[in-house]
Amino acid sequence: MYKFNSSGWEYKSSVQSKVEVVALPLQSEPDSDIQELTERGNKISGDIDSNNITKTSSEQQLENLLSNLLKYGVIIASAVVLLGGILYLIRHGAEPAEYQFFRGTPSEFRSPTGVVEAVFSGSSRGIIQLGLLLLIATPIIRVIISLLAFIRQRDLIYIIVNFLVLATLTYSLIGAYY
Amino acid sequence: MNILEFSLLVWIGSFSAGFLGALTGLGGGVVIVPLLTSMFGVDIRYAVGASLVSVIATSSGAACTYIKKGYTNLRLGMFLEVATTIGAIVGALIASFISVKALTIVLAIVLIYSAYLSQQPRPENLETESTDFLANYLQLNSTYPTPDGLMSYQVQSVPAGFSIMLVAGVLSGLLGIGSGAFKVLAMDQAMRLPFKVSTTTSNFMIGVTAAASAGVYLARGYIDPGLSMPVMLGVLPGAFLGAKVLVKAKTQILRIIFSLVLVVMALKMVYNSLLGGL
Repeated sequence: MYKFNSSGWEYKSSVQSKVEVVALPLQSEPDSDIQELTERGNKISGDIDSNNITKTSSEQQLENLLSNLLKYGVIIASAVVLLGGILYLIRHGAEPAEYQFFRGTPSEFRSPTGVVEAVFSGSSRGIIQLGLLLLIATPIIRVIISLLAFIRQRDLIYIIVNFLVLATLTYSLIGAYY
Repeated sequence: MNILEFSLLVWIGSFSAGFLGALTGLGGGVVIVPLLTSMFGVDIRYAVGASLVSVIATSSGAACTYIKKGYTNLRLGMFLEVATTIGAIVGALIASFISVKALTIVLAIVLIYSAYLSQQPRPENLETESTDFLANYLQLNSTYPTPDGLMSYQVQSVPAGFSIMLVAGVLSGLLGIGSGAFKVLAMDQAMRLPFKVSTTTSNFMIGVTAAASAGVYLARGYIDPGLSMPVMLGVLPGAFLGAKVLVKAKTQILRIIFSLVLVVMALKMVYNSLLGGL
């Protein structure tokens, strides 16, 4: 999870390269001013100008980060589910399928700690359940990463927005067990 | 039917559901529940658990493609998630006090009405000047790619959209669906977003809304690994295929598919609830 996090944060360099491209036709002015103006210009155009056709680079950086997070989260989760699924079909494939009557899943599959214990005892269904937990965790981690990104940008409104979402998620996940 | 055959058939069904879910922004879950219960005779609680997992898989799998292509409006999605997650908790809390049967029929009527609404012609990008103060304040206005290059759009009626999202969240918590249909309609009809932006932003939000009720389902024993495995592994490749088609497809065709799915869903719900009453 944290590998692409660190690579995603290197947006200083991409800001620099973008600024250079814009700066070329305006060579008469000192660099630092142009940088400041372009950044301010980008921000203003994002705020009001309806004809702007570019997104700010921090926005694009966040898009890439979240896109990669979702991609790898889903890939890792489905790889775990696939592994458990193959083992499960090899071990239990010939048994009859019984889902007509609800008995509820065994208690060890109902909490994260129980699932981890089942995995260590070699249960193929436990491995599948671990993959499903990773899948459920993916959007939650996405909210956490967004929160951190907006804290870094000092964007107060979206810090509050993401914090509210995270608080609601935490409440519903913890509330389910008490 | 042994587990191997059962898993294979469920896998094929889920693949088709994932394709439809990604294409329409519904999230696949609404197709999974009737599929598992009516065709495979699965108990509705297991079906709802597997549906929830499929909803998160479809949403995240398709969303990563859409975000990269620049369709998804991240800020708008995050802002509206506040409404859907709070709504989902409220829905889960009041679930025990409301007759699901009565609710199902109301929902079906609303869905058919939604299908009718989405068939009404509406030119995209009518407004070039934003009249909504909140949309400016929250920096919701953005751009999206079209064949003619990037187009900018303005977000309208933020309070109305937010309110519909609260309702969508309540329904999601109550019925265990992503309720992507309502999310798309809130953004398409009330907030006047381009269709592809509302579809993809809805997809982005569904994962978080579903995760808000995942804890409850897990603790109640609804999420069965043996059933969820073929569902999730089928839904994912279907969703990726759906995402590829969406980028190329014409909006008009999408609207028709979307409306058809809504109507079929609504009729299915009425049929099921009437059958359950006998």
